[in-house]
Parts: sequence; structure tokens; C-alpha cells
Amino acid sequence: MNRNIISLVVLTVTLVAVCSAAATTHANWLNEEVTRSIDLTSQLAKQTVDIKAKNTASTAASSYTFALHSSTEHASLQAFIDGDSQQLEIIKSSAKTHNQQTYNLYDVQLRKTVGAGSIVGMGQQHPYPTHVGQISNQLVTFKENTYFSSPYDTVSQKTTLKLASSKIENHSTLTPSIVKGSSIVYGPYKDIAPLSYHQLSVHFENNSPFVMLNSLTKEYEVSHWGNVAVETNYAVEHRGAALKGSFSRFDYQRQQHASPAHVAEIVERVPLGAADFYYRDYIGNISTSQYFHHADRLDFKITPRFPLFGGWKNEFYTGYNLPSSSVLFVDDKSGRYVLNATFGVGIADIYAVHHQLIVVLPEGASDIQVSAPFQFTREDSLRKTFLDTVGRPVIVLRRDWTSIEQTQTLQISYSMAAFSILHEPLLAIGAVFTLCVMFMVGSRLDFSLIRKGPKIARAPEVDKLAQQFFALFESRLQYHIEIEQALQDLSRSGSSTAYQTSKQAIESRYKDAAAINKLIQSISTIDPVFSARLKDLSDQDTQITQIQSQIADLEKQKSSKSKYMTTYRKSYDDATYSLDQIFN
Amino acid sequence: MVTLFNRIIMYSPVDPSLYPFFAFLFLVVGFAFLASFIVYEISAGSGKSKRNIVQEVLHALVASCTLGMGGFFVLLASGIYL
Repeated sequence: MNRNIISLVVLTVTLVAVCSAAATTHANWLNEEVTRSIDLTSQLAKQTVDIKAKNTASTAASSYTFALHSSTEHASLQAFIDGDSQQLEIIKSSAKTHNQQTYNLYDVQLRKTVGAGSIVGMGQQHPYPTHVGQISNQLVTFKENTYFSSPYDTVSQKTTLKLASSKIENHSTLTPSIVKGSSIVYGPYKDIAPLSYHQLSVHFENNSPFVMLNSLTKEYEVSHWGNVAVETNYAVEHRGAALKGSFSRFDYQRQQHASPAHVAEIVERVPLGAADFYYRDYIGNISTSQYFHHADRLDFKITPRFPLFGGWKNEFYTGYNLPSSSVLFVDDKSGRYVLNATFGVGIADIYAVHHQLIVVLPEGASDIQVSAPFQFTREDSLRKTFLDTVGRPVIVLRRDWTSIEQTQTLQISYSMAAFSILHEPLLAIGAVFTLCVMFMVGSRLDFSLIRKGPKIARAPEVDKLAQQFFALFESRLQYHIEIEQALQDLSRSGSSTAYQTSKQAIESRYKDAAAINKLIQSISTIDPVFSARLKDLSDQDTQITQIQSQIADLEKQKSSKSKYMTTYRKSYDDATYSLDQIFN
Repeated sequence: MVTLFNRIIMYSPVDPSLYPFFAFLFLVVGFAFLASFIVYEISAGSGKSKRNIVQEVLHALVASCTLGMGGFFVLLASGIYL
């Protein structure tokens, strides 16, 4: 709460200071000769004002104040000293009401007494009638102050209006005023008091493109690998007289120049060295575009898929790549990186209501500073794109109501460690290495489905006997397979005599059962634990034989044997498994 | 403020016109090393005795360095500036 009160007090004091400063400087100047020319050939009202003023005070003045009548609501201002290309700083001071007319005051920080300035009024010409047909001409109205709005006395002043055509419906008069073709000259007027007002209004034909940008977003994506990618998003609106009735493609194709106020193409100015142009619709359609070389720039001409008529809107984006050598530098003293970016509308005779510049710096950039010769708002954020970990620093600069006349270069400087450039390749290398490590780990793991028992160390003589046992038991398993075959034959033929004969034949070939028992006996004297396990195995073998004879009996009686079949399968599998367990 | 007199122009560490060449070179070498790494891994089997961890890591390092750089240059050559 306390804090609020303090800041409020400070603010009031500052305001008073500004007001008193303005009050003291007002009377100092005398405008000796003011020549104003207002160019209304495009949708913008471009005023060039040449002011010859004299400081009548005894002390040197540091600023010159000029006023803009409230009819010029949105304007971009520039001020120069005669013969000097460097712009002067303009500070908006306050609004002043005089004889029911409101004026916005601006202070120009000066060094000399002779000045010139330009004012670009945006959205100051209004279509009237507001709706016209497809092949009708567009008429607009323009209102301003006939006098040069100035808080000082003016000795002599003259205003020339340059119109887009000589078709003038009507215009206000204030003697002396004269119409010469497409120009109207007001003045010269002598000895005009400060902030005098007389309304100037013209109603004339203006078929120049009345296109404005509701929003203009220009994005610089900086890469230290030699590229700065520039992408511009446009939200265009034709703010001229709205199209009356429906659009006829037939009429349009037959006579394109019969629709004077429409916009079929837009030319964007692009710096030299730009390459890899693209132009896409908001929904991704690629449309026609061409570029032309000039000595100092490239012109990138884009033809949207449909022409723009009054009230119509279009959204699209264009882009190109700039080599980093043309815009990215290193300050040789501080070692900081500096990006030269252009802030402003790249299209002639158009203005942007909301303009923002987005600069995406490489990952690792820090201590970002913007130096610009104008006022802007700044916002910082982070963006993650390809191969980013913490995200790239993004700065967004905003400025409203701007036109090509205000296009200015600003510098964005930042510090970055030299090895940060290797961040992305190292990430790619790391990804492949991780893959290799996963492969190494994977090939060390065992994914086989059979569980292997622990290997038991055995005495060499036991091992020899065990080898014999293994061979014998394998032949026992083979014996069981053959008996099983005979059982299947029995089940098919039903002949028990045939079964008996084949069983005897098989038994005569395999006479191992007794040998197995003998082997177990001899092993038990050396390694009783191992022989016990072999005994179990041999018991399983006997069990299998028993089940086989039971199945044979059932087969002879022609009764169901399914219960025994499952028991048989299980004991056979158990026996083979146990054998694997013992001998692997 | 950087002016014409106190600036050093920033060039890419590698000439951008060489990006496709480097992409191709690194990818070919990278895939060769990756193939030899995989062949080594599989032929060594799961038997521990035949494996040599130094050999494996060396193979993997060379393969990942070349293949990583290859992939990176593919991105640069295709217009995705990182």
C-alpha cells in the first residue's frame, strides 16, 4: 500500500515537470514559413511538412513542439533537420484542447532551428459510399486541419493536397484555395494564431489499394550454422469500399482492370541475399509467387488465390532464408553476438495495426538486449523445437500502427558460449550411442525360455558313469516313443496280438532297464546324492512303462483311456525335463 | 551498438553448400561402423569369454559419432537449421 502511494506521488511530480517544460518552450518559437504537402494518392495520408522556425527566446531551445489534430488518430512520425539524414527523437507529450478541438502534442528533440518532418496518417481516408459494385470506382473522404497545427504563431503557411485522381466530388474552401488538376493548394495564409482550426475536407476518387494488416508477425530464427530463417505472417484486410452484391468470377476474368479498387497481388520488399522463398496460404496451399532483383533489394511478388475486394480478408505467410553473414555479427570488443533485424512493414502503401517481431535465438543465448531507435514493448519466452533441451530463448517486440516509412533496423545482442554450437550434434551423437549401449546390454541378457539348473561339479569317475546313464536313458525315452507308436497302432487296428508282437520286438531291441539299475548302484557308492536323483529318474521311467501297460489294457477292453493319456503325457514330459535338469 | 567498424561477420563453421556432402559422407561411414558393431555383438553371442568391452565401446563410439553427425547434417541440408 505504502509503495503505491509513493509511486503515485512520483508520477504526479513528473507530469507537472513535463507540463511546465512544455509551457515554457511553447512561446519560444515562431514559425516563419510552413510548407505542407499532403499526398493522398494511396490509402495513406502522407504529409511532408517543411518548417522554417525561429527561436525568439534569448536562451537556446532543446525541443520543438508540434501538434497533430485529432482527425489524425494513428500516425507514424519522423522528424529531420534539413540536410541531415539522422532522425530526431520524438516524444509524445500530452493532448491539448483548444476551441473544442483536441490536439496531440509531440516534442521533437532538436539541435538546429530549421526542420522538416513527415507524418503518415493511417486509416484517415474513409470510403464513401461505403459499398460499391465490382466494377465501380472507389470514392473516399479525407478530413484534416486546413492550417498547420502548431502551438506557435505562424507567419506564412501553404498546404498542397495531392490527390489520387482529378475526379473531385467536392472540397472545402478557404480563400485563397485553388484546384490544379489532381492537386488542391490551400494558402498561403499569413499570421495564423497558435492551434487555429478550419476543417479541410475532400471527397475524391481513390482506387489505390486500401489494404491494411490487422496483424503482421515477422519471425527471425537464428542459427549459428550459417542461417537466419525469416517468416512473416500476414492477416490482410481490404478496408476500402465493401463489395456490393456477389462476386462474379466471370466478369473478373473477362476484364480484370475493370475492377479498379481490388487487390490482386502484393509486393514484399526483401533484403538482398535472401533465398529459398516460400509463400503459403493459412491452410497450407502454395500459391503463385515471383521475385525480382533490384540493386538494393529483392521484390517478392505474391499472388493470392483470390483477389481482395472491399471487406475481404486473407491470411498467408511467406518466408526466406538469409545467410548469417549478412545479418549476424560479433562485436569485436565485447565478443557478443549481434543480430541486425528489420522492424517494420515490408510492403509499400500499407499499414499494420498490430506488428510484432519475434526473434528466436539459438539455445544457450543469454543476456539478450535490444537496442532500437523507437518505443516498443518486449516479452521473453522459451520455445522448444528440433533437438532442444531447455528451449530457445524467444523475444517478442510489439508496436502498433506502423507503415513502411517507419521500417527501421534494430540490433539484438546476446552472449553465447562458443561450444553451445555443438549442443545439437552432441545430442544426436548421444542418441545413437544410447542405442548402441542398449544393444550391448540386450545382447548380454538371456532371453531363452528354458530355465537352466545349476551345474553340479562331479567327480570324473561319476561323470563317466553319468555319461553312460545319459545315453541309456535317452534310449529308454526312444523306447517309450516306439511303444507309444505301437499303442497308437493298437488303437487304430484293435488287434491285441499285433500289439504284443510289436511290443516284444521293441523290447528285444532295448534291453537297457537292467543296465540303468546297475549303473545307479555303482554311482551310489561314490556319489549317493547324485545317484538318488538318477533313481528318481529311473522311477519315472518305470512309471511311464506302467501307464503304457494300463493304456494297452484299456485299449483291449475298448474303454476310455483319456484320463491315462494326460497322466502319460505329463510323466513323459516330466522325465525329459528332469533329464535336461540333471545333465545340463 | 555494432557498426561497420567494430564487427566481425559471423560465418558458419562449415560452408552450408557442403552440408549435403557431409551428410552423405558421415551417414555412409556411420552405417558401416554401426553394421560392424552389430555384427560384433551378435557373433560374440551370449558367451562372456569372447567379448571385449573396450572393443565394443570403441565400435559404438565411432558409430555414434559418425552417425550422429550424419543425422545432424541431414537436418541442416534439408533446411532445418538447428
